[in-house]
Amino acid sequence: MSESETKSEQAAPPSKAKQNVPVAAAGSKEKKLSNKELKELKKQEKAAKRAAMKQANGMSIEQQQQQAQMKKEKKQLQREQQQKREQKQKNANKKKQNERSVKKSTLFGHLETTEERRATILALTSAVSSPKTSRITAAGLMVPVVASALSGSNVLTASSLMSTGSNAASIPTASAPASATTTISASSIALSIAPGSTATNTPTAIQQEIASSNASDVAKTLASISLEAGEFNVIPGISSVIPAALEQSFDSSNLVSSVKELLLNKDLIHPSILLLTSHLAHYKIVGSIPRCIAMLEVFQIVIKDYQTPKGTTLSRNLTSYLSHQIDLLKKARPLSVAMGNAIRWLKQEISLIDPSTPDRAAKEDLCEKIGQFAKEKIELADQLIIDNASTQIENSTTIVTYGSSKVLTELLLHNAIGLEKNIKIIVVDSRPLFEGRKMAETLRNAGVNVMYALITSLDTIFNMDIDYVFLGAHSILSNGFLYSRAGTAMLAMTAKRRNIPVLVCCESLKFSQRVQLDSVTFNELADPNDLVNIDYENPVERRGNKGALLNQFIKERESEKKKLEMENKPKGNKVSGKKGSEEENKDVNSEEDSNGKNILDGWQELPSLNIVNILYDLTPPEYIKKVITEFGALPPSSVPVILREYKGSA
Amino acid sequence: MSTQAFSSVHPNAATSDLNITIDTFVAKLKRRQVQGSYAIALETLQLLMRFISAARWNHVNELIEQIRDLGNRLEKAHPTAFSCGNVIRRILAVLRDEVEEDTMSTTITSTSVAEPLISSMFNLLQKPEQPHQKRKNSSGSSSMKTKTDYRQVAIQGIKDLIDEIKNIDEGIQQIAIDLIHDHEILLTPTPDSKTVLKFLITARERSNRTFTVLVTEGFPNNTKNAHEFAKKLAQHNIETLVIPDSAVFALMSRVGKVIIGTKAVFVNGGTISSNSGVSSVCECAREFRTPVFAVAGLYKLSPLYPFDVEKFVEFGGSQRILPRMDPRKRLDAVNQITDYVPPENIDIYITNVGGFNPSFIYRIAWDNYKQIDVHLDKQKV
Repeated sequence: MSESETKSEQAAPPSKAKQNVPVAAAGSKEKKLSNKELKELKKQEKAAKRAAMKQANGMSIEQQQQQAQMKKEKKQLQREQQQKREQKQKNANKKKQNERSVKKSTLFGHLETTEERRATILALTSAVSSPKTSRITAAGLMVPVVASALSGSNVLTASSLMSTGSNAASIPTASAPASATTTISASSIALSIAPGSTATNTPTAIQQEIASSNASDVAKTLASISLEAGEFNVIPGISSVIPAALEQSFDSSNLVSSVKELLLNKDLIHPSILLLTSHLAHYKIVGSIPRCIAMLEVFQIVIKDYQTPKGTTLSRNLTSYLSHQIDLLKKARPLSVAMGNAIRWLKQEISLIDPSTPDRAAKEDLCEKIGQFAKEKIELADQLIIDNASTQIENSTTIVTYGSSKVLTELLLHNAIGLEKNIKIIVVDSRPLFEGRKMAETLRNAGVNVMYALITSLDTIFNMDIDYVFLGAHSILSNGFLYSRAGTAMLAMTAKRRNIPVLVCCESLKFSQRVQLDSVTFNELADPNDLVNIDYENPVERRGNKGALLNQFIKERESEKKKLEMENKPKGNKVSGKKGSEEENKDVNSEEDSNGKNILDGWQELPSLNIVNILYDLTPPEYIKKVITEFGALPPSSVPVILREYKGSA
Repeated sequence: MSTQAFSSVHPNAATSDLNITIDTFVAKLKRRQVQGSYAIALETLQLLMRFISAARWNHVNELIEQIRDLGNRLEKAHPTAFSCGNVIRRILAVLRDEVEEDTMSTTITSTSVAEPLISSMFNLLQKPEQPHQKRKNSSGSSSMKTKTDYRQVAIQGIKDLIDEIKNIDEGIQQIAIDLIHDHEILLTPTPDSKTVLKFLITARERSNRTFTVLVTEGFPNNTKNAHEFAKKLAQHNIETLVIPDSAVFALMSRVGKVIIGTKAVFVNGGTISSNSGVSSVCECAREFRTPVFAVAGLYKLSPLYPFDVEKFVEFGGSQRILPRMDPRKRLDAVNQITDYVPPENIDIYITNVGGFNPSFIYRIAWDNYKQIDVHLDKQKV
């Protein structure tokens, strides 16, 4: 019974609540109604007043009604138009997105393109190159971000960015120092965070803010920054070149954030690193080993110039300092495996330094160690490899090689000149880097019997009497695959099918822990524009950031010219007649130009056309007879053994 | 020297005009001014038409001899313009068939009955010259009786052949379209082939299939063609990727089929392509078990056998390979223009009369050619 009572009691309260609720609701309704009534009353009052006023002015009620209707219709029209505009914008955005997503090659969409890397370097160098603006850039970049971070709003307003941009842009024209100081003072909060503290100390919240900001805004700010270089302002029209160039290529938030991070730390970057970056990006230093040596040399300079900031020790801070430098180097080209291994070694060495050793001694010690490393791992290793491989080469052998390799050049020179063996060398080469030309030239200049061919003539070459194929390497992966210049695999395959032994000369510094199954998953994309130019000379030599910028500039100038012409045209018939003759002249010119132009020049505008310029490919271990390293000759399957056994020394 | 032979055959003033046309065509061939086997075949046929309409002969064998002489001249002018010799041999075969038919209807001997049924292989063993000569002697009077108009026959044959050559793409497309599926990735190392281009475009537009085409550059001799080819494909809304020749191996694992154009197809099923690097591409495809199909019009079938491949492969100057060279320190440079693809690296041939295995090509060849005309330069005894 008691249970049932409790049940009934339990059941009771809800019913009460139910009863209560409608009451409350009714109450609120009443209140609401009263509110509404009040509002309506007020409205009526106002309308009556207006009507009275208008009547006083001499308008009839009908006229008033008409006016009201007209207003309503107008508003509707405006709304519709707005909606249409919005839809159009949306569509346009969608189209843009589609175009962009399509333009990334279908097979290699996951890889970083040269355009992106180039844009990053461009942004950075333009920011770094003028010392006056570097501070302002920090202000321009930091102010809105920090302000929004402080205010708690996540969205960057375009107006704030633009205003800072315009401020910055006005500086060179107006009395420069005064306005500069004002902007700096205005952004004192930002600066107080920005300069002294390195990226390691910057709060992660701010970085997140950076990542969330819009890509095109970033491009604009960067543009306003780069404009500060002053002398650009002399040339009309250039103002839009850099932002456009940047805006084009900044479409992924990932990239934008990485660029911003780089820009935040740009004060830390050593000038010699910048120089090396530009050399690497322009393919002035090519080849895994030369790149690695160049990097180690630059690191020696960087370490010599390094000053430990107060409050930290060298062994702790130098690593992070170096990693900022490396971040920039990565933007020139992805690091080679040899470079990665060297960096890993260097970082370990730094961490092993006793914190109690004075900075100067530690730095000297490090530089010495780097020199020793380069000598041991590269020079001496090469010597051992050459000694070992020379036993393979007999008198009057014919050897095929591909591209250019430092060890191989030395090996062949040593055998042909040093040991006076009568050998014949066939250098196979490929577009667009034509590295083999350099090698063929070096060998030929030394008096070696050289033949030069392109990869398309493989069939003819292997119909000759070939004894060996010697290959250089970019890296050998843990599963025995050879990762080397694109085309190597085809050469190795052809040799294997004709039972010609394929030997690879490779320092153990190039051995990688990584495994990879095919060349599509991981690769380096070079600039597709290198393939547009059908020239028998090396197209890469003459291209770089400047070329891309110049093209952009020329394009914009031309479009501007066209605009001007269009504006001038309707002015008079006489003028148009003259124009006609000019146009004819132009046609003639354009015909002449077409000889110098390339067929694929406008390939970016064709949505379904793509150019793929990959730098590396993978040669399966079955094609390789043996790998010659400083530890001796071994089959490709033994690469992981070397990696494990000699990890201490490697 | 051969012009003298011609002038001795045709002493008239009317033929001198023809001789000039022949000479200019020979010169054009020598200077490689006629490009592409399609153009060469058509121009040869036009020339042959004029030649036959102006020719005079007492007996049809004289006409055949004259045509053989012309063919020999043209082949010597450009030994690797195979389509030129092919069409002349086709016309010769038409004439010879007609002659055979005539002899069949007039003199029914055991040899002539067996002749049309037994084809080349037996002829090889039989020493073919003797029965022919016999027949020639016997048919000399008989053909005069029936009065077949061989000029008409030959000209009709030429007209038919021109028609056939012009409509080859249609036939190939109908067969080849069934070999590719939706969203397939194709690779073509012969961007100068019109047949391949037309096939891809019609496959996209008429059959509305979407596919991706990888185009190799064929540096240095064919890069311009490759870029034009890629541009045309892209303009027809076909997903196109231009890749350097070195990237073929790297991308082959993603390729569904390799499609190649041909310049000449030999009886062993091997082919000469008008672009270097094709044999390496086909070898790659073989290594990756990617099917390779070749498209070829019937007029590209050549009755020759590639005993000596190097005789058929052309080489060019080195200026495109090494533009700058120290004159004191010269080095050899190889510039291969054409390429020989062995039959084992080709899976199937698509011709306008059907798809065939490379090993079956010889049968198709002997349907259209006569064994006796394989070597035009051998003077008949």
